[in-house]
Amino acid sequence: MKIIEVEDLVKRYKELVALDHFSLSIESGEIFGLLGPNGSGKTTAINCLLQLLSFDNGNIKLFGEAMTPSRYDLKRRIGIVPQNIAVFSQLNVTENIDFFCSLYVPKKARRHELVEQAIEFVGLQDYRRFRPRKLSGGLIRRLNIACGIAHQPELIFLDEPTVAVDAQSRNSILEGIQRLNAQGSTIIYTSHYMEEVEQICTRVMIMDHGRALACGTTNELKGMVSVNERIEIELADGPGPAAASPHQQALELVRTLPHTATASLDHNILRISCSHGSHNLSEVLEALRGADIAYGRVYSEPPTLNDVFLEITGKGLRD
Amino acid sequence: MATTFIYTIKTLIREKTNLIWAVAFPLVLSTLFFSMFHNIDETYRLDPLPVLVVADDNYQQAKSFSTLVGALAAPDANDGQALLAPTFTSSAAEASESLQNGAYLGYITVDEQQQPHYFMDSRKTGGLDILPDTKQGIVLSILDRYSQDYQMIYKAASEHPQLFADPGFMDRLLDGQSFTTQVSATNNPPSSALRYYYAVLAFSCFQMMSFGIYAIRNLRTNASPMGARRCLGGQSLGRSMIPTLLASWVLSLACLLIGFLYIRFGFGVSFGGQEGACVAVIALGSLVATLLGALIGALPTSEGAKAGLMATLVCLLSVFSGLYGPGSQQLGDMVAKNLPALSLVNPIRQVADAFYSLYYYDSLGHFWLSLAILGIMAAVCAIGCLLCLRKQRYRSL
Repeated sequence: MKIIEVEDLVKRYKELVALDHFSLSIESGEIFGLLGPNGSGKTTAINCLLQLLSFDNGNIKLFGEAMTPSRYDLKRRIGIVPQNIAVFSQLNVTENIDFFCSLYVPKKARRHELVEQAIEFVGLQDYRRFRPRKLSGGLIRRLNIACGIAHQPELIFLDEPTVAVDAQSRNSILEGIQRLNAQGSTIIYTSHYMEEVEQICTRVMIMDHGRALACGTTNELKGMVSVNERIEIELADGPGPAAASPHQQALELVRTLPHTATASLDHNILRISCSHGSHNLSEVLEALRGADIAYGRVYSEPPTLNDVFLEITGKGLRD
Repeated sequence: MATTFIYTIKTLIREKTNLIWAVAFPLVLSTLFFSMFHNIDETYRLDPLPVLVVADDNYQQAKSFSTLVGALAAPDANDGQALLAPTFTSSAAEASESLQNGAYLGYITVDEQQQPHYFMDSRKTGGLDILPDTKQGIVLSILDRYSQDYQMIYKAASEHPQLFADPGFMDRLLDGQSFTTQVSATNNPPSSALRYYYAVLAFSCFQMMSFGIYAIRNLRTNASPMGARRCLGGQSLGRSMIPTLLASWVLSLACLLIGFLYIRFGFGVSFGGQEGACVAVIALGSLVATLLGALIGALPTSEGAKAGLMATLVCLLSVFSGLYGPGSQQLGDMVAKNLPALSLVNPIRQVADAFYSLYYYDSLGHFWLSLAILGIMAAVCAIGCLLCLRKQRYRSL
């Protein structure tokens, strides 16, 4: 079942086109990653989806129904974890979660259960009576998440929930997101951390300049770009300057291989970027052995989502 | 809605800065005024006039005069205040000597014809000090009055002694000479300090606008991350706004009632015995303040601009309620007389006027008028706030 359907969404801020005929389709049960550089339109797209922002053109359907600002029945099925912490500094952990849960669940007894579950879910059992200013950055992020998911929504928007948290908290948050998904929630996840998205998302969309540039599983995305495997080989040192020749010979040799995209030599380190191919490392090593070129340590790294992202969106600095 | 109400109360109570201002401000300001004005009415009250009376043989024989002195030295049945504080001496020489110490206005002697004479201390007359002259004038008036009555009765007794056979003659003789009766044009005796306390309460009412602004900041989609998050909740704007503003108003009212009780019972400031009506004024005044704050909070401008607008409004409108002294009171009265529309749309003036009318007027006409105007203001602010907030989708956040 399609839980989100966006067609041809256009949003303009005067001359600036924030969303340029943006379309999106997300199935129930997915963890969908939305990636893009700063100002690419991710948050604008989410705010339009949630009807916080007006838009110039397009159709938005949530749960198969047209979304409007007054569709409180649909809003009750959605959870929001905003990037900016939005909790009451005057209320303690339990009160904050209870308040936001009360926006969706009127019955106190039911709410009490949900609040307890949310506290346990984010691991804030020992901080029930703490007010936010007494919590560390990671704990506040977890509280922010608990406030968004306490009512057990079917669809959860998480907008960079791991910003400025330590590795332990980040790991805890990511595991929590996967558990939420396992419990049946569909997740829309935005982040600048590629490894997070790669770790948890079932599908990823890369957007820039308000447009969807690529969408698919991480493997599908990796298949869309020219960069593939990266190989580093430490060539054996020869006897003095005369040894420069075998290193140069090795460089020339790998450049002739069919899947070599680029190759470079840094002292005795040979760096090779491969294009597509499934046996790049063995082909390279076989060629070196065939030419009787000695080598030491070998490193091989498959392409990352970061490589894909940079290739699609470019390496130029953004605001 | 009950949950929103309770948590709004909790957030407001725990927001120490707001609460301290809301509770402490009327207390501090009224204490300041009390320290400045609590003696102001005392200065208009006349203490018993210190005079020396030569209690020689003539005085002893002048029974009517000694009776008069005794009566004037006794506390008055109405206000418990004596008019004279006589000190008796045995001779005029002694009295004259005692006069030198400056503690007395003068001394009174009685001659053989039982006529009193008054010798003033010249140091207690003239100059720029008006009050000593007034006191001397009072003593002289008493003695003149006595002399006139004495002469009239003496003449009547000499020329028509048979008239005194009638037991009611003396009553009738003195009946036509009743003094001017003091009546009050107002329901209660005027007090120059009261306007300050009423103005403080009115000012404090509208300090509570900050609660309304704070409440709306957490409700409005484009005002804060909290506003955006709440907007995405499964509740309509009304279900969020009504308990939030209700909580803000209830807390404002509670803070103001503390101030009111402090002024009323701590300083004994009179509200004309209309304390119940005063609570109604405070309730309506704080409601207008909360809704006006909500309206300002809903305006599409920065938080700093809203705070500035609130401070400007409260300070400016308080000028016309008389908070800043006699000049401010005269200006407010002048505007009320010549440009009444400006006074009618000044909520702080209306709250102060409501207290004022409860104390001074013997009918509740002015009071109800002020309340009606405040009610209209509350409705206008509520509608304005709703119009500003009804937009749920924004061009930008």
